[in-house]
Amino acid sequence: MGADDILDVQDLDVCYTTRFGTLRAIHDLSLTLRRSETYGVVGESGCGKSTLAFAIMGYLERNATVTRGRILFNGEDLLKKSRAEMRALWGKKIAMIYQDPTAALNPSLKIGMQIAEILQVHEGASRRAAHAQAVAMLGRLQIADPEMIADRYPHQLSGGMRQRVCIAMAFIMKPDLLILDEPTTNLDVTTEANILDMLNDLKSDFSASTLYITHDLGVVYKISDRVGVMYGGRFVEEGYIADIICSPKHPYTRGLLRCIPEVLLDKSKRRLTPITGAVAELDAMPQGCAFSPRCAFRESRCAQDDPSNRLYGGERRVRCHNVSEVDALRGLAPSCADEPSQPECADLRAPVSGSPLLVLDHVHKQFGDLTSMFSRGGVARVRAVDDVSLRILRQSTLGLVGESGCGKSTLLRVVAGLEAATDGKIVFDDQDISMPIEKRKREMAKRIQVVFQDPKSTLNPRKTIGQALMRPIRLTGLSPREADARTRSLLQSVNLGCEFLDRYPDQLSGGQKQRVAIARAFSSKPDLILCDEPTSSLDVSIQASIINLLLDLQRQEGTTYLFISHALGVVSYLCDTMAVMYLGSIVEYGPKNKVLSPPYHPYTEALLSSLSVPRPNAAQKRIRLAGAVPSAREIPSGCRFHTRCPRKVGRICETERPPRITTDGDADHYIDCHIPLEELSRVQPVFTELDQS
Amino acid sequence: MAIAEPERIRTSPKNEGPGIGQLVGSLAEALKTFAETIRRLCASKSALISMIILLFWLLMSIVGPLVAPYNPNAHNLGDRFKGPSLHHLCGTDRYGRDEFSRIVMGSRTVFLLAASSTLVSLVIGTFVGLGSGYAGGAVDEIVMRFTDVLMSFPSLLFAMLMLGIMGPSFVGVVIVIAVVFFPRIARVVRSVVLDLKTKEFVEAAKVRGENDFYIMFVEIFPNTLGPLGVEAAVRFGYAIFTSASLGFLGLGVQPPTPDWGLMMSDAQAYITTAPWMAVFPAVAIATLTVSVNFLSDAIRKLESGDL
Repeated sequence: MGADDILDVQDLDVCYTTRFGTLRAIHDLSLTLRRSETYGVVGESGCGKSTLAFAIMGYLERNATVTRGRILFNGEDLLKKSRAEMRALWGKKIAMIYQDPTAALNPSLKIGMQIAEILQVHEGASRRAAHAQAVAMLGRLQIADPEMIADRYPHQLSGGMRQRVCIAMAFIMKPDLLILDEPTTNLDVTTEANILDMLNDLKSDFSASTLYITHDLGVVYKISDRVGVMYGGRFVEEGYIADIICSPKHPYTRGLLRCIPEVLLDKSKRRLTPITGAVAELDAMPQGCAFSPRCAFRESRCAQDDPSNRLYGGERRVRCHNVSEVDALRGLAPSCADEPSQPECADLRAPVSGSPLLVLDHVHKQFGDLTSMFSRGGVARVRAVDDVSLRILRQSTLGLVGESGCGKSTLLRVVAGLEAATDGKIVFDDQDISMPIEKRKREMAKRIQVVFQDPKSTLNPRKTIGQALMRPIRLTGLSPREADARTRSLLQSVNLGCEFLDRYPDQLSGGQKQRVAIARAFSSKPDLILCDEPTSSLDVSIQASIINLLLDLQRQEGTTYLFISHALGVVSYLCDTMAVMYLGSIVEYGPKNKVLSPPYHPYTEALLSSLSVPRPNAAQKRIRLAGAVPSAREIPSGCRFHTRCPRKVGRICETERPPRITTDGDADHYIDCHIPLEELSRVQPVFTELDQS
Repeated sequence: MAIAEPERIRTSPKNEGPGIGQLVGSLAEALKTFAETIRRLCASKSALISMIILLFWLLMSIVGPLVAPYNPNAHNLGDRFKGPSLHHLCGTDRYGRDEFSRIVMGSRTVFLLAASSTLVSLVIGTFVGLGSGYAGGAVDEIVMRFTDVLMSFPSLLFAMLMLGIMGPSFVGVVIVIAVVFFPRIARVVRSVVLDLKTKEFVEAAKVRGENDFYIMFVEIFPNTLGPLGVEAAVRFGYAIFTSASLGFLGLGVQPPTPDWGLMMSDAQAYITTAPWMAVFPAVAIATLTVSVNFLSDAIRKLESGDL
């Protein structure tokens, strides 16, 4: 252990005792964290990231034990410490920030008091002094009015603000070690970008060492110095972040990088490469290399021997049989030549011009607010969807992006007929479908289908997969025999075998459930499928295969998609046309490549520059949005984006609704903004490719 | 899932290929689930003992006449107020009737009363809860306030009042217990329905054009079976208790039908001279009620995954 090392984890093994036997969650893991270094731990769900964090904190579940190894913190073994000794370290020397700030804060204490409490406990500070320090800390995090925030309760703050408060609590004792467990996962991209910036600033100010746990390679790329890629409880690869991103050596790291749908990557250019199979379960961990069942380069020895860590150069460790040292020295990715070649995607269907399949004409959706029924001024209304007009061409994909609460899901539900539109007209294939589903013609139900967001609740837990698929097929009027055949072929088309027919949803993984949901949506051969963030709760490697599946089915069936998501990368990869939604209104609409390049709407520009993408060879503009999205109950006057707009012109933005600018010669691309088109066109693109040489 | 549900048989697609084979298949599966439930219940000692006691009384109620040494209603004035002996295991009462035979035959009355009243309240409660929860809005509001009114009466008092009007009878007791219990079952079902009706699989059914009845009974209902089973077990326990209380008060089944509550009530006057007359029926009621309660507790734990 070097003098500069804050944390040194050596050969750590953690096991869980369950009624299925002993499960090894952490396997022979070593890591060293130096002073004021940020170390990223990346991995998909179930790879043991959180167990690692809890092992270091000493927060392990009752049925978990550290069976081997040492955790040295400033030279002292944390595993040998008593609970009282650990309590003296928690919050003072070691602090942790969790994924869900709502659960981390006490709902019945004011923010100021919660932060001050830490000082009172650890330093015996007086109440007044502690409160002053707490406010000062909040001020340091560029929180506009720290006094006011300190005087509020957690539920009065936005999610991003709560996470800032948690960060203030973690930093206030100037800890030596900070463990962050997916702190930005539930936040919008614009908030995430702000928090990551803030963490980077604090890191240099406080010289704290940080262990940053996340599933997002883009975030890790932005924040960490070194990174460990975790799979099956092991570090499969470790090294400096730039090396890992530029020349990944372990097949899993390479796989992860290849299945991320990047912004500006088009479906026609490259097909995503999902990692085959599913993340290894703890109770079915292969004997040899944990990744071997999913690995494209596996050899016979991979299944038998677990490869040991091999050192390449100074800081690079790779846990793979196949990486030869020569390759490593040359900096070449191994076996690149024999990787299966990319399937061509040239035969993607082109959108059919002519009469669009779906037309939204000034659609509004408002929700009455019961709680304010008795307040003065009558009923406050939430304008969830406010005057939206859109067109979707046949066989095309319209991508709708926006932050949470922008009304994109409500819009989708209105189109599906699950909510009634308050005003406006929805025309589907020249028929008016503005009414809710019960009042639509029955055949409409067959022609418009939905793929929902949550794989956990999308299937009825009491019905087998066969029953779930059979029913919608039977509704189309097929005979039992035909329906049975169609069920089987549908299952096959979503790459599931017939053995799934008799299984119940709880026997399926999230990705498999989502495949069944897609099969169900396609069962009536619909013309339009509305996709409500179908991949948002899936791991990236699974997400890639779902995206490929959607593309394949679209090609075969000629289906039209309306795809909504907050993940700009996924939407921009899939769609032909793109709409950017902010507070219930479309602020920019047009063909994808026009939306993603200047002239931008200032909001589109800010969204793009907030993205965390692992792109070492491109420079990204840095634009940050201040504050949170305003409530849909009090939509700002004039341009609804003016409260956060970094390019605000002046008074006019606050008073007048922005005009609709169509870009030159292209009526299909419009931007709602007061800034003249010439000025918008002069804006530099967010991403600029760096010269490789 | 803890409760074996015959529902799977009903919801399997109809007219589909070889029907019999599938029916047998799902029946076998339901049995397997049931066996698995029992096996997991056995892991808890209190549940195991409770099951044995419950089975004992159930067996008594079925094979009663074979076990009972005497006719439970046969008067034998020469053998009045005899204490427990080898001839009369639990002694005799004021007419010389054999207490043991009366307790054995009384278990039949208890089970019939409790089971039928629980069943009736389950059926009503499920329909009310499903309909009210699914309809929502004003309908739900009105139905729930109505059940609130029903539940605000102390249940025994309410039952006495109703039986006082209707006159005591077997059917009367069943109706009264069902009316007292169904609001509670409706509440449980409704709360589950409120959660389920916003689930995506229900929305998927709406999007494909299913009608409300299909959604209520085929999509939602099977998912209420778990909590419903737990509630049924709890209600069954209370039904035993309530029917015995009503019997004791003379509002239940009428003499000479052997009934534990009624036997206790008869014993009141002779509690000092012939205590066995009160003790044995009391033990019978207590063992049965307590074991049903323990068992329903274990089922609840199993359902929520704590066992």
